[in-house]
Amino acid sequence: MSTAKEGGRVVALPGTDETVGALRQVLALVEPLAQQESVLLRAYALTVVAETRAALDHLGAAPVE
Amino acid sequence: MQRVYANKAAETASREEVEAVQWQKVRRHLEYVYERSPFYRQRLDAAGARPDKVRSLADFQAAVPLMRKTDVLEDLEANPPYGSRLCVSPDQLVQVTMTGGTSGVGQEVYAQTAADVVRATTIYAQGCAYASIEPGDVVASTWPVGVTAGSQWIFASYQRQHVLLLALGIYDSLTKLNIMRRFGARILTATPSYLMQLEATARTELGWNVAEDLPVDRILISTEGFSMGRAETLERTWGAKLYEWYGATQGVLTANCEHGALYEGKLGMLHLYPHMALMETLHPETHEPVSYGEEGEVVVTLLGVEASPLLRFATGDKARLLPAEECGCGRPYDGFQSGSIARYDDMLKVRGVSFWPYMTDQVIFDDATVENYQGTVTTADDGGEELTVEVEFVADTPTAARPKRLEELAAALRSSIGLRMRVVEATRKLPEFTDVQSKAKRWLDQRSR
Repeated sequence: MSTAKEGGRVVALPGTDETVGALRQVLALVEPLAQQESVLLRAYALTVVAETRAALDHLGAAPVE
Repeated sequence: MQRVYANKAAETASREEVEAVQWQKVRRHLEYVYERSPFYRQRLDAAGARPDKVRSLADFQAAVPLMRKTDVLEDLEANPPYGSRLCVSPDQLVQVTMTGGTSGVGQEVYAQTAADVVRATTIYAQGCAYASIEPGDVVASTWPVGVTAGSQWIFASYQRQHVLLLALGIYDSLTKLNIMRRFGARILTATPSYLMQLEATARTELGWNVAEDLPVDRILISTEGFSMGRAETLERTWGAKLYEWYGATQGVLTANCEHGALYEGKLGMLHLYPHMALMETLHPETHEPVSYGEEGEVVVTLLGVEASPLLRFATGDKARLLPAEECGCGRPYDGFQSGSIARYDDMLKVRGVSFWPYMTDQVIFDDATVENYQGTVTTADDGGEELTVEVEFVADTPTAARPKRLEELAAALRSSIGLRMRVVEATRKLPEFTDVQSKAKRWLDQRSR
């Protein structure tokens, strides 16, 4: 298990590359939904965005590096 | 004891790996606040600490100035209602937290985005996981929900943890106890002072022995320092294991691991989470890092905070720093000794001797005949300083035995604190700390200045 790196720099906790990658994909997919017109769907999307951003933070990763 | 993982990647990494992640987060955090906040840009420019000049953690600690409550208050005054520290647009905010204002100086305001709230509540949940709180558990919270940080985050965190939460904050002690028994609460969260108040109510008004008449087996405590003796008394009285957590309006900061507040005959450890926060422990006057085993002021830089971030915020809290190995749980996190956290501004200095109220709590509440006490420091006619302790006895303490107990308490206080105190039986009803959010103020300083 090694520390996750991008361009030679440490970007997340060891062994979390795949999880960080998956969470960033979720964020990329859901963030546009948080702009939509339907208020309730927007609220669900905002919740997913907040949870995903916080999860990345707990793994030591930025939402986008 | 079974090892619980709240974040396995962080808990099984080496210290070097976690510190590498910490530095990258510090770097990102610095760039973030510099880019988004006029408050920080001005401070960092003035200190010569622009992000491109800060190339290591040592650079960061040397160049970035400490900030204090007064800095936050001045910014709020000049830029209401959130201050120019705010790094997001107001329409991204979902929560505001405020300090209690008990210092008399002013109330700090912090704003949170949804991700900030998730972050804070998840850090609290980390301590809960170590206390083996699981979905399906019944949790009684005695914190009334308001604009204070702890109350909102505790409430939201338990909802995230899928436990059955009994939010009892607004009820009187009797109602809280009855609801706890009715629904079989096994976990209780309160301050040490309020635990004593709750136990006294159960004993005197309901005739309960809380260790036998309530199924509580774990208690999460915070906000007050305590000694090993007091923690042992609370565990024995309640028949439950104590877990401590420590947070402030600025954020949830640390918690005990599964070892709890007392473990194998010594006080436990509040573990720091280096991948979530840079926590420094500095000498309160020189601002140099203290060594392991020493006490210092807690200085926090919470990493990843979006709305109201802080850089090297000096909390005014003191704590004793311990190395990770001291705990033995195997996590690569240094920590603070459980019970060692207290406010520097609560410290009393009398006749050249400094002490904190939790130290007198230890001596006085070790005596099972004491229900409550109030200490007062006054200036005597000759200009000297006098300490008086009024003691309220448990109702069934025989009147004839009381004078001897008072003498013994005075001797114990002198031996433990190093100060002579006049210990008398109270002739009035002493203040009770029935509101869990009000930190117990058992000492009054009435010296003429």
